[in-house]
Amino acid sequence: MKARVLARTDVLKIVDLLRRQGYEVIAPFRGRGRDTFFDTVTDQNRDHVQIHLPNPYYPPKRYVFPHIERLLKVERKNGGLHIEPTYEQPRRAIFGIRSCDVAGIFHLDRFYLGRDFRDIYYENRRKNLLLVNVVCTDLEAGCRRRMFLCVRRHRTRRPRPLRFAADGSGR
Amino acid sequence: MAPKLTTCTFCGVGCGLYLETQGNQVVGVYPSVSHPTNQGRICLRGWHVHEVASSPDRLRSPLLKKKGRFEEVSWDEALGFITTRLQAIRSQHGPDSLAFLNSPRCSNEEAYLLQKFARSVIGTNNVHHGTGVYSNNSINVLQDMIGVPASTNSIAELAQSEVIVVDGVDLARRLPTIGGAVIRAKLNGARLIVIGTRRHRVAENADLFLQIKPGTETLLYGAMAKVIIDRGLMKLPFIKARCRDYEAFLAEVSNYDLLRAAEGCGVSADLIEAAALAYGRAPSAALLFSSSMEDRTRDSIRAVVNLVLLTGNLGKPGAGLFALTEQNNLQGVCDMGMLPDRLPGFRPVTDPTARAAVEAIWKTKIPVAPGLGSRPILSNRGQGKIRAVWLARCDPVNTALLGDVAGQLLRLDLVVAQHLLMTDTARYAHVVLPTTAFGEEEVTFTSTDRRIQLAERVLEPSPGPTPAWEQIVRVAQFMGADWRYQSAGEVMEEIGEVVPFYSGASYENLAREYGRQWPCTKDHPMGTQFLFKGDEGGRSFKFVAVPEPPQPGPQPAEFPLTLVFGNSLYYWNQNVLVRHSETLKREYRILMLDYPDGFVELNPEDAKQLGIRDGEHIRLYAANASAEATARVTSEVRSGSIFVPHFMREVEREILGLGGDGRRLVPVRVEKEAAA
Repeated sequence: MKARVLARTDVLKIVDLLRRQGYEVIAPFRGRGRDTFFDTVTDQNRDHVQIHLPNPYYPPKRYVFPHIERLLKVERKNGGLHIEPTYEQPRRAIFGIRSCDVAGIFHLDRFYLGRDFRDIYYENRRKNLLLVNVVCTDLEAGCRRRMFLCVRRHRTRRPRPLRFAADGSGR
Repeated sequence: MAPKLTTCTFCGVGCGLYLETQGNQVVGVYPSVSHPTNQGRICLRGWHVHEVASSPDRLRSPLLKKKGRFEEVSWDEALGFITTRLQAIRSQHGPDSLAFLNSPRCSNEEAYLLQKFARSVIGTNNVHHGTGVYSNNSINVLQDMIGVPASTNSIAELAQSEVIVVDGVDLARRLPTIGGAVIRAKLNGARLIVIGTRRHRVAENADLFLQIKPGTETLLYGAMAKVIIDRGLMKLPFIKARCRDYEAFLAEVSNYDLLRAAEGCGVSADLIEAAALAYGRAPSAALLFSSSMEDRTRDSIRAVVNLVLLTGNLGKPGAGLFALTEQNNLQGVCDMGMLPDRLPGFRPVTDPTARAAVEAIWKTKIPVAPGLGSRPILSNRGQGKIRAVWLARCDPVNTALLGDVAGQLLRLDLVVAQHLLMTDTARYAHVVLPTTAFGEEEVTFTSTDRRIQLAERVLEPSPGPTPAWEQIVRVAQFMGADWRYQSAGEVMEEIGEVVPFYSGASYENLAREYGRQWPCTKDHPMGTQFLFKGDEGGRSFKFVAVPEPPQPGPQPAEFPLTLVFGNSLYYWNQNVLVRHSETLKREYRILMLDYPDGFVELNPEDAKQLGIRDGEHIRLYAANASAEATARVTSEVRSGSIFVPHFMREVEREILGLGGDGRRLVPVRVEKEAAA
């Protein structure tokens, strides 16, 4: 893998490139006041994409694990019921996702992909997902309390063994 | 579709939230971080109330009752039927035989047009909101004493309060966002004083919890005022500059006695004194009470306002008086004149100048005599004079604490119901008009801190239902009125002309930030964060002398406990919106899984003494009545009292009788019911 340096003015060209390649591109936008949100980039809102924004309060988890999704299609056919799974698997890219949210998706992977049972709906969405990560250059208000989820990822992967005090209680 | 900022339409807090949609369905909700009231938080109801819009039970077509059964009809047939019947009843029995009631969940535009229709097209002042149990006492007292019937300060300012008094309202359950703001203020150093009969969640966190006997608020506040005066903590410069009638108040307060009050209220004198000193010494103290129930007497609200005036807690941030409204637009429907004795803007209907000002805009005459309120209309049809009732989003059969509303509706010549759903009330209607839901129309609501906010349209309306305000306009047009409103925004423009403190609240202005707090005028279009800033207005506040209430008589030996009726922890379980939102229905029925037949609440001490265990059947015996119920043993209830949630209609009817005489406290004894 090679590193590339982009001119500041060219950063949004990544969005254009991804869209040309057929991705549905999700990116951060500014709402009212300090409110920000992820939304699908269209021709109309492309110029409003911003990455130097407070991280949206409503996380991008819904793009890998939506609140509402159709799982099955049930049809009456030949006097019986024909059941067919329906997979939503758009080619989707999240542009401007922060490291903490990437860590969040990593945790979802551990649960839905990393155990005996693989969630096929989740897997289909994940296979088609491309993430363009923005790494914070300064600490956002509130991050201190969230214990730097973005950098704690490795700690979660290798949990520290519990130590026991002399009386047997964990600490 | 891009998320759109809108307003939660459940309770009076008016949280700002974004709705995300996909394929004409709301698929996501999240709170606005920047909204000054909720600041990134919403409660369970905010997350899920949009589910009502996609309820399979939504009404899709107008329904007309023919031979005792509802039939789907066209809009023209339904509205034509209403018009013909209204005209016939008016010409036969006069305009005052018709009445128009709405719910405090109606939008400002709906409320304004309904009362305008009643007053200018029909010719009656028989207009009222809710079912008669809402904020009339609070409105009248606040209007009289401070000139503004609303909360004086903003929810966001609670973070600046040094002392917060919460009086009689279970914030955690009823207005959770405000409950959270109060707890955060306490964690940041504010002193929290809770006054009430129930040990609710906020009370658990209080620095001082005064668990008083039911109905003794007036006595308590009088005693607190006495302590403040005796210790010289009253703010005399404020009183001299801004208040009238202080001397009469002072003379009356001197009759109060701390020890007597302590005995009467059932809390220690030390506790009352500590609360009074904390409130009196605080540079900024906020006082929160629920305006929504009429079980608070006018005197008890006067005593609250007296205390606020005495300590100069008006006209500064972090202080003030919060008359909390529990329905999302209770403040707004009152502002819009859904009151039988007040025009829009709270001007008395009996005032010729006020009438003339409104008549000039409406270009029609307004009846002079105040109308009937919802209580007489729904409890005895105004002694039989009322022949027809229009109920806008109103469900009194389910919610009114008035006994036999259904029986009264059955005896009317015409009942018109506007609602999303086939409510218990709509079943008794002659015509049911289906309305659009939250997210399907652009209208405004006014929150408990006077914030007029837009609720945006984010969904295409389902085929069939139309906005309730449009239905009113069409009936008015059928009856010959020259009403030409094309949008709710145009209605708001007229509201701005009629209600002086809404004159700057155009949709364009409201959409700029997070709504505007009234007074929002053309001169001050940014609105008003807190009232009475500066010294303008002279001595506009008024003390009212409240005589010391007589000590409650001794509890009859044969009836040692007091029955209290009120709103319980889970009272939302009967709300029609909750019942049609899958998540809320599940959450608010959790307690009912343990008590499927409902419950009345007893203190553990009383229960132990009576040998009653949680979940056992008991019988309550009053002087002339008795009722059976299931016991819920909980320390939330004060020892010596038994709490009956309002949704226990059978208990209420059996103890108070079908008419419900409004008594709140009933001496009773309790016996364990023999197992069946």
